[in-house]
Parts: sequence; structure tokens; C-alpha cells
Amino acid sequence: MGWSDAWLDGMRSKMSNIFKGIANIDRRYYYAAVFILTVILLLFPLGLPLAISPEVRHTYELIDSLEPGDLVIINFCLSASGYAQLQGACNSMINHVFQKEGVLVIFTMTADQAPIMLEEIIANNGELMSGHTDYPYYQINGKQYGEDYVNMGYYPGLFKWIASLSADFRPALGNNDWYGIDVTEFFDSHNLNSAEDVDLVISFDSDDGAGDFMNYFFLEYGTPVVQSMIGVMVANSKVQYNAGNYAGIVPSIRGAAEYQYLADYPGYALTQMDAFSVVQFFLILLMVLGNIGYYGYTRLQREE
Amino acid sequence: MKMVDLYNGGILILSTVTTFGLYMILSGVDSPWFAFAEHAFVGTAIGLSVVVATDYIFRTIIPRIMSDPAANWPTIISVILGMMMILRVHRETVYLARIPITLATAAGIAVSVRATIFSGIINQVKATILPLMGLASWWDFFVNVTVVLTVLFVFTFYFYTTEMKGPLLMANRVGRHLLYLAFGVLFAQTYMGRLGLLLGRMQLFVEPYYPNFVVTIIVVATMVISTWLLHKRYPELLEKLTPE
Repeated sequence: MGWSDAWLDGMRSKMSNIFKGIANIDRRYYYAAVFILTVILLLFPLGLPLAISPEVRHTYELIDSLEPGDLVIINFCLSASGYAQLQGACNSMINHVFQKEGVLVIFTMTADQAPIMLEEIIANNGELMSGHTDYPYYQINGKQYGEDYVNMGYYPGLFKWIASLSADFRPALGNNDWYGIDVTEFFDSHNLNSAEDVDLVISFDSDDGAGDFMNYFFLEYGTPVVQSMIGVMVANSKVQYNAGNYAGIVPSIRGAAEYQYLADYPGYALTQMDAFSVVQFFLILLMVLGNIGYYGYTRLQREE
Repeated sequence: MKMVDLYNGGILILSTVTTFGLYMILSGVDSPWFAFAEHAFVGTAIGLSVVVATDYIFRTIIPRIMSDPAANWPTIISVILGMMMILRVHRETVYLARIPITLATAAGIAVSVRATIFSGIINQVKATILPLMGLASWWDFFVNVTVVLTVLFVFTFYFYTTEMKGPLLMANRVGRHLLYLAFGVLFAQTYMGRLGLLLGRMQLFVEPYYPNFVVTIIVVATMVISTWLLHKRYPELLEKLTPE
């Protein structure tokens, strides 16, 4: 064996160790790097550009086209685990609906953890009405509780309740709101008696609340349904949007950031997008590195 | 210090402990903080569900029945059926609990099937039959051709009763790789969702810098040091605090 062969063997051994090292980096380092990157980018956002997708623009235009007298059902089918993703969409979209003059809103919930989140959103966008010290008496962009909007609270049964709401609107909602206050006057004064009176449904989902509203409101009455959903639901929702079943979608944090940009609502989702983009690039880099290490090491092993 | 500050501070500390307690599983070491967060989450979620469901019954169902029992006889029957679910707890009465379960399942299917035929089949098929001529742009043409061809190729992957050879075999292979692409997209969406959860939580802990970020750093440091101390100095206590 000549000196060149010995040198090649030495190099091969070194390369094999390097590849093995790359392929076997302790995954806890990855987790730590993701945590550190996230914190740094949240504290010091880079201001990366953001493209607006057609579906979010369409959703924005749909909400922006609401007329005085229109009735919107805003449904929360959202559990605590999904709230972090949809907080930005909830804040900006609800604020946008409440900016529309004369538009009436009914809040409903088909997830038992949702009432807590809705109260936070209302407090975040509104202020206590004069003479009141607690929920539900908040005014949002001038809209008064009991006159322009009501919070009907949580209803169990999910699609069975939504089907019943579609068939028997008033009995399915009941007369008392989430706080036990009689809100019959709200429905009577605005002549809201059947599901046909609903002009738009917006559902914030970590479960498929919008799908059920689509089945019983869109298919029955042609009521447009908009969904803002968590990341794992995006693929299915896009299919429904493309099929024309949903009038609009706002997918996860990305969609929320786009909506906040369109609605001129500076919020969390916009600042999170930088961290989102950089960490996604970091993951792609890790995948490339891991594959280089794995294939490099196994190839050298085969050659030996 | 105002009570409201104490309250918000307590919420922030508890929130930090539960979030980072659960994230401690990533470190691969046993932690009493993880055990606390895991059990607290399960207990709280169940407790909340029970309270909210009970509240719904007292807020909506009972007033409805009390207002006019004769007119609301279907609600009364529903309540009786619902209460029959409790009979599952005893072996001799478990068969009675099957009645409400059967009715609920049958009603659920009946209510959902008709709508699913439209939203899940007819509208999806309509969305797949796309024009390939007279389109506004080349991009629209490309998108429509992609949808149509992908549907055809993936269909051939699910031909089980025909021998795969020639063009059919080729289409079958293309269909399989298109499915891999779709699975990749789903995985990426799932990852994006999980990262979104992390970002949402972290945003709470870093903004505003004071007090949130400062409190978070102090709480996390305390959790890490206490876990380290338990591992190094008090392993018996650690075992007691981290039940399986």
C-alpha cells in the first residue's frame, strides 16, 4: 500500500466520522436552537416581506362588503391548544367585522374551552360600557352588547346542534346568553327568526366547525362560510375552498398575518412571521444536513 | 401592589410553569414539572368540560322544560336518554346505556349523510372537472392541467383488480409519487401548525419584555435548577414526584 492509499484511507475515515457526527447530532441541540432562534426573532423582528394570498384577500373583501343590517355568526370551535395559532386571526377579523356599521353579530361556541378565549378577544378589542364593570358589557368599535351583538356561549353537540340551528334557529339558540341574561329583545328588535337571516358565518376552528356550518347553512341557504383554521387543517380546508364550499379561508398564523396586514391591524401574527420563516429555513437546512450525513456515512460504509 | 397585578403575575407564572414543564419532555430527563403540567392539563380539561356541560343544562335545558313541559316533551326524552348513559358504570345495566348511544349514532349519521353527499362528493367532483381551453392565463392552464392529471394518476394507484402493465403501470407509479408529494405537503402543514403553537406560546413569554420575559427567564431557570438538583442530590424524591 503506497502513501497515497494510506492518505485516502485516512481521509475516508475522517469523512466517515464527520458524516456520522452530522447524522447523529443530539436532537436536543435542534430543539434548543429552535427555542433560541424563536426568542431572538420575536424580540428583534427582521421585517421580511409578506405576500398576500388570493384566498385571504378574498376573505378580507367579503367581510369588508358587509352591509348595515347584515347578521354575522362568529363561531369558536377552538380549543386552548389551537388558540395560539388563531389569536391573530380572531383579533383582526373580529375587529374588522365590528368596524362595519350596522352589522349585527352573534357569538356562538362549539368547543367547551372557547368561552375563555372569546372573553379575552372581546376585552382586547373593546372597552367596558359606561356603568358596567364586567363581562359581557363591552363595546367594540362603538357596538354595544345586547344591541349590536350578543354572546350566546357554548352549545354541545357540534354538528347536531348546528343542524338544529339551521332548522330551528331561535329554539336552538335559546333566550338566554352565556351569562344567563335574557337577550330575546336583541332577536325580536332586529327580526332575527330563522337561519335564512344569517348573512355570513365565520368559524375559528381547531375542530371542523366551519365544515358543519357549510353543510347546514351554505348547502341549505347559500350562506357564505369563512374558516380560519389551525395549521394541520389547512390542506383539507383548501380543498373545500377550491370546491366552492367555503367562501373564504384564513389559514393559521400565515393567513392571520396577511389579514392583519390587509386590515391594518398591527398584531402578534405579523411579528411572528419572521420567526416562522427563519425557523422553517432552519428546518430545511437541518433536513439537508441530516441527509448529507446519513447518505455520506452509509456510502462510505458500503465502499469499505 | 394592586390585586390585579398579583393575579396577572400568578397567571403568568402558572402559564410559564405548565408550558415549559411540558416542553421539558424534549430534554429526555424525568422532571416533576412535566408530571405536574401533564396531570394539571388533564384534570383541568376534564373539570372544565364537566362544569361547562352542567352549566349548559341548568342555563338552557332546565328553563326550557320548566317553561312548558308539555310542549318540550322531546327535550325531556333527550334528558332521560342522556341520563341513561350513566348506566354504563354498572355491568348489569350497561346494556341500557347502548340505547342512547345507538340513537345518537343513528341520528348523527342521518343528519350528516345528506350534506356530506353534496359537500364531500358532488361539489368535489365538480371542482375537479376544470376547463383546459379558453383560460385567461397560462398559469390557470397549468393549474387546471395539474389538477386533472393528478386526479387521473392517483385514481390508477387505487386499481386493485387489473394487472398493472404498460401505460397503466406508468400512471400507477406516477400516481404513487404524487401521493408521496401530497403526504409531504400534509407533513409540512402539520409541522407548520406545531411551530405556530410554539410561536404563539413564546410570544406570550417575551412580550412585553418586562415583566413577561424577565419573569419567564426566572421561572424557567428555577425549573431547570430544581430538576438538576433533584437528579443529582435527591433521586428518591424525584422518583416520588414523577409518577408513571
